[in-house]
Amino acid sequence: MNPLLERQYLVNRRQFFSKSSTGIGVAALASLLGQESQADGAELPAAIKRVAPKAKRVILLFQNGGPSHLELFDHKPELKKRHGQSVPASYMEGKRFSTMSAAADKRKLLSPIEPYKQYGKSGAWVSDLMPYTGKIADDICFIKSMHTEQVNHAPAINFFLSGNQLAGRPTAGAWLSYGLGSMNENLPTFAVMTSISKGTTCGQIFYDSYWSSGFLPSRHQGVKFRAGESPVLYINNPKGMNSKLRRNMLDGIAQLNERKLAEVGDPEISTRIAQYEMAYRMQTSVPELADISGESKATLEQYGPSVNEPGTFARNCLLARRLVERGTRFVQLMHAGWDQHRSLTTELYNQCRDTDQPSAALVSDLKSRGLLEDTLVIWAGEFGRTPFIQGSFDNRPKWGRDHHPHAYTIWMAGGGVKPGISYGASDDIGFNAVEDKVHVHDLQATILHLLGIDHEKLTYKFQGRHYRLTDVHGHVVKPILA
Amino acid sequence: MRFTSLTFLTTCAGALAAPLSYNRDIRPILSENCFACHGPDKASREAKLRLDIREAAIEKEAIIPGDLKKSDLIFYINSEDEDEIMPPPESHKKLTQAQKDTLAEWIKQGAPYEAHWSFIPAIRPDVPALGEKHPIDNFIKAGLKGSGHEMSQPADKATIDRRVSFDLTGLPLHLTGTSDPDKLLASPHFGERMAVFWLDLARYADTTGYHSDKVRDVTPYRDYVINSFNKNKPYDQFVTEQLAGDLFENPTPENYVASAFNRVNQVSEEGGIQDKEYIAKYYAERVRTTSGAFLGATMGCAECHDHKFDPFTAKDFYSMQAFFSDIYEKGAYTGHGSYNKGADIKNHPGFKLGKYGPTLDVPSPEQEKALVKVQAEKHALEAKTKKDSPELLSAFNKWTNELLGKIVSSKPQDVVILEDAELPLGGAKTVTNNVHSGSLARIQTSGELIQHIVDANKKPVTLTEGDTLYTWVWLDPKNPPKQLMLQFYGKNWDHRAWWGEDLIPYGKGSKKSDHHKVGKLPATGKWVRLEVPAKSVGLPAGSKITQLAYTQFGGSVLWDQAGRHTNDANAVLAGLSEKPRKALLSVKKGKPTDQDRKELLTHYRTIAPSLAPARMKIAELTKQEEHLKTNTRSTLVTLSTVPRTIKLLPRGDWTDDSGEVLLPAAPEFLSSEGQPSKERLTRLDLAKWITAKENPLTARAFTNRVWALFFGTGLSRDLQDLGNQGQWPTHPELLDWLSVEFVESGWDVKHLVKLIITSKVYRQSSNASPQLMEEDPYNNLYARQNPRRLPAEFIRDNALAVSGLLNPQLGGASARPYQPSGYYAQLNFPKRKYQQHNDENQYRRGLYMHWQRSFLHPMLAAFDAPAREECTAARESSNTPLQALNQLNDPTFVEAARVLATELVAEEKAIKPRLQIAFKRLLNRPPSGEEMTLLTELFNKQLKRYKAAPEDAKKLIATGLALLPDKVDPVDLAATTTVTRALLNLQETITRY
Repeated sequence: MNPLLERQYLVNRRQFFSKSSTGIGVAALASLLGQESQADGAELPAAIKRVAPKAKRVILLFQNGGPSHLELFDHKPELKKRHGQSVPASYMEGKRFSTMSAAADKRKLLSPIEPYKQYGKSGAWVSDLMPYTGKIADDICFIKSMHTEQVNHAPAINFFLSGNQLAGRPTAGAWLSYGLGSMNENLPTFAVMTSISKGTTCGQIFYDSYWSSGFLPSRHQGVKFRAGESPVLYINNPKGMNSKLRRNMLDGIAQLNERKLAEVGDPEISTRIAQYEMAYRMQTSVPELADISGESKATLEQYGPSVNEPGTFARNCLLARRLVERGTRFVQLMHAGWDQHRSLTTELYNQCRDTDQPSAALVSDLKSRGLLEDTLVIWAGEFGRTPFIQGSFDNRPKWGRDHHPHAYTIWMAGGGVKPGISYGASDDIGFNAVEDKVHVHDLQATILHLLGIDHEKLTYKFQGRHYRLTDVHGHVVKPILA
Repeated sequence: MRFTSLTFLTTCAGALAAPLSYNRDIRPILSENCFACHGPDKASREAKLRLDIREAAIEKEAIIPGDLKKSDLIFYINSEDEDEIMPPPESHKKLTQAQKDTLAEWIKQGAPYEAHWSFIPAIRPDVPALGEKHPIDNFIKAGLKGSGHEMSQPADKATIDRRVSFDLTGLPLHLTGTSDPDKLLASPHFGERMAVFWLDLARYADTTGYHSDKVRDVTPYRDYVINSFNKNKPYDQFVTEQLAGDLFENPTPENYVASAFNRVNQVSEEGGIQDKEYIAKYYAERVRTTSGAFLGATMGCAECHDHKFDPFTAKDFYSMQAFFSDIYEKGAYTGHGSYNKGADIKNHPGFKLGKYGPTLDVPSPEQEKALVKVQAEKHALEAKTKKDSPELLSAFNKWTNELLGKIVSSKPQDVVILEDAELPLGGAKTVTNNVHSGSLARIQTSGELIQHIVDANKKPVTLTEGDTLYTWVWLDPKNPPKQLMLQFYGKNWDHRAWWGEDLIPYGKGSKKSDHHKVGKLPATGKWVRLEVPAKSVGLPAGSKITQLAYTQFGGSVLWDQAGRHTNDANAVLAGLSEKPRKALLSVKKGKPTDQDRKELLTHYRTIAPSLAPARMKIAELTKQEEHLKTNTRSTLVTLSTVPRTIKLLPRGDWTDDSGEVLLPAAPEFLSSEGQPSKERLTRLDLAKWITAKENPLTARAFTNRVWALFFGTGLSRDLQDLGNQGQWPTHPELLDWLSVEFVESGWDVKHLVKLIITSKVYRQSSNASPQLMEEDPYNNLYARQNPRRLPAEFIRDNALAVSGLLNPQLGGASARPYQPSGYYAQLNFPKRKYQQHNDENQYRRGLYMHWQRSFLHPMLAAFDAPAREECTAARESSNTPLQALNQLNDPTFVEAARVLATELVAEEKAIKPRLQIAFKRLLNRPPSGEEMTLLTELFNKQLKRYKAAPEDAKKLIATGLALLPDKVDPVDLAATTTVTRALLNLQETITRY
């Protein structure tokens, strides 16, 4: 673009933000002004900076539906021993079980369905369902004392992603886009991809609120990438319009919009101008991103055979790496189908087959490229599953577990997190988090901390209140910091 | 509890007139600064003190009414000690002196509390006498007092004209041609505009939503909504018809169509789901939608527990469900789901039981007329063919004699079913050197099971009495098979005859006609005929065969001609249905009765050559009749049948049967009426309760939302929820005044709309001074209008309208505009392909677009239209690169730009006058000199480049279905198209200022 115009943009934007900067953080202002304040931790305004950032970007491998911590990572020999016995009443006392319908003695414990093995130097116990994750155990940090406040999917997912159970608050990706800005002008700062295992009967819907910018300016919302020829809808020009003609036309649009902005000062116009520029750049960068023909055979094999199929979790993992390589700040993968109410012995195997290898491959791939150091990978669901059975013991093919917010396991890798450790613990049957408990807000605070942000300082005033990702809670989990 | 005494009958008169209002002045302070630690949430409560309940605050001596010295609250908020002061410093909250004074004054006045504002019935407040003619202006002026601001100047006429046209019809001034509110309110497009708003609340869509998300027709309901707004149906009636139209004394078809409101919820036909679970989901969703759409209340939380913020209880939630328990429906629309016990569609004449429950056919007036005409013509012709003429009778006698002759003289014979042509089917090998007949024989060789299917599909064979089926085979003496099997496809493959050992698995174990053993294998080394009576393989006279299968186990076999051994008499008789057959046999015996003659004559009429033209015409008319009937839209409707039992589900768990049985009842805290009485309450009672003048929520919710249609924000900002989680209105008196005015006008929607848009407040400029922007960024004062991006549908409508492409047809089946290929790739059960409309339906308004819930058209989705899975009261207004890509590259917009350019090119030779026209159409203003220069430069550059690449120009102007004029310069048109594309993409184009 014409440098004069570029300057004009900045002037206009500054005018706008100085006019209404009451509601916008200084960091956000800086990032909105573009490349010149390239959001590199070192340049973050002191207002939100607490420590040097360890991570520059995040890949969230979100597992919708509530993966069973007891089947995958939280090894509980005691649960196996007590298979068929009632949950001791003491586990439920004083807990928020008032809404639970049945008494403890009607809840019967169910043994994990597959055995566990120890892996690596760290000796982490991992289920046979997750052999590939087992192999990277020394690179990751398990948190086995996670707990949340919500027991249903959408509220719990909203809670995990936005800090509030109701849809409408900004999600973590949007907060980071707002707080840290872009590292690549040609691609969205916050990208989202979704997938679901084949043969899943209980697929949850991917609501747009899961990547919403809430009350933050809408440019911070996640951009959804899709499988197929046009990875982002309408990315291709109409026939007969080459890139010169397009640029020429876009300049015309920009100039006319500029004029109107100067006249009426409507901030939506300045956003619109920025969005057309972004759209233009995406038209080149997106097809390049989605083209994996340059990936080596070895790399592809690492992610497993389904990497060749667009729209799978494996392909999305590979694209996540390509996105962070190019500077996307926050990549949110969402994989549905973990809701094993009656399918532990059946569909859980599909889930593991489709996610275990690609998740592990992503960590190894990032590591081998030197990207893991400053990329934080998080594997997590919205809650865990009950140690007790749902269904009947005589009907093994229909064994299941219900939603369980009181203890569950996630893992993180890279980005300033201690590798090869296991933090926190649930009790001997995986019912309650008991040791070094980590609340969802603590995790959110920790993620922001790793990115160099004080979670109490990154706020946005809306409807008369200063909102933040962690609401009014959250403590950084310091022992897991490298 | 502070809410239990609240009923419709109780009013809190004077609440708003009091010097200090708890709701207006006190609640916001306490809520913002205190309730987080001293409020309803038990888990985070400090010092066991709660300030949200008066009694509790007094008991703990935080507040002693009238006594500032003894009130701890006053002490703590004024403390200078860091460890004492409230709110504590780490909360980052601080009371201003003014707030402290307000609290003190309030305690002095006795610390009165009030129930939440929206749960108090609205009382018409006095209009502030501030010299304005319009009540709204006086209220807004009152709010501006002391703010240092005044209402902004009116916008210029061009802006207002454009604003009014968009706001009242969703269409640009170019199409409506007027900004006269009365004319626009009378335009049919007003109903369309209002429908866009209402259909979000009613979660109207074209598909089932859950799982396979299939199409089901409910479009008549959409048209009902449009027509209701156009007819200015009183809102209370509109609500009642939707909830309970089917329960009216003599429901009209329209009443039934309205009742589809209860049925446009998402439903599932996923295999294996539990009926009961889904019934529970549907009921819960209906309560959410009913409370959300009509009351502006979120009752959803009460599904699992008593509401955290509002006084709705779980019992209220399930009691409201009970109103809907009479709806004739299934949970699982699969074989496993069942309708209400005792429900029978026969008790509801005029209705059909479709795949998704009861439906009603809704023919258009044109269709009804056409159907009557076709049926009349058909009946006339049918009567004509029944008349006897001498010619017909003589031909009939001749025909009868011929038949008789055949029966008497017929001989048995072979009729070939399969010969050479079918033998190689399925890629089978054939030989020519050893055949039984014709020139080919099929050879099958295998160590074990081998089978080939041969096809008789093209000429299904009807078997007659006494038929034998045969096939010629040659068994290789060196490599004989162990077993041979002939299989015939009737309605299935269970017609088998076999020879030899019992090795072929098909039908094995059965001794019936599906596995009929004939005997040993025939001799080898010569052509032999396998024969089996058709009856013994379960194929009696009249059966039809469409396929055969040659199956063998091991060995090598040549297979050739297959056929049936039959005789003419049988064939003749088989060709007649039972009655004429019996009649013909009576004739043969020589003792025909009159009845026999009549039967034969009746049959003859169906084949008589002389009647062939009439029969063809009748067939054609029948086809037309069918076509009219199948193309008649139908809609799901609510029918009332035997109510299901509703229980309170603990924690929302549908598997838990332990909850108490509940009868229909309105939320207790809001109602003294509407509680269970001797007679079971119905949906009609629910509607009466909702539309009662005393209901504090209904009129406020609607008025607030209608206000938002014309300002972008509600007077209470949360359009979804007027409850405790909602927002204290910026102008509570105005909201109440409007609500009361609305009710007292007879729930007159057009009156309400006109009232709003004739105010000065509405007509203000939306350009804020920097100072106003700074001091009132959210426009809480309404000292200006708000610029608003058009909703998704109107962005489309605008582009189509200014280009002249828009098809303004009102109502009808949904339309399918261009959509990216593969967009439905993840839609399953079954896989499906989007079929765009290639006719005038391509250009229909956005609100008629096919609404696929799980994969909403990407243009609609990008511009924030909701998927309508749930009741939606407010759309976001996002601004994203995906919107830019859509407007730039969606063929709809490229085509609109091209067609607009075509008109410009046809009307004017030079670019400047073209721009004048385009600006007028799109922006209702002339271009400025600078804009003119800019766009002329753009045009010239494009012209130059397209001149160098005329092929590209041709490609660009070929976008879309619209025809190109014969004589057009592609280069000029392409360059102009770029200019119109640029104009269509402007923020100003899609914004109403």
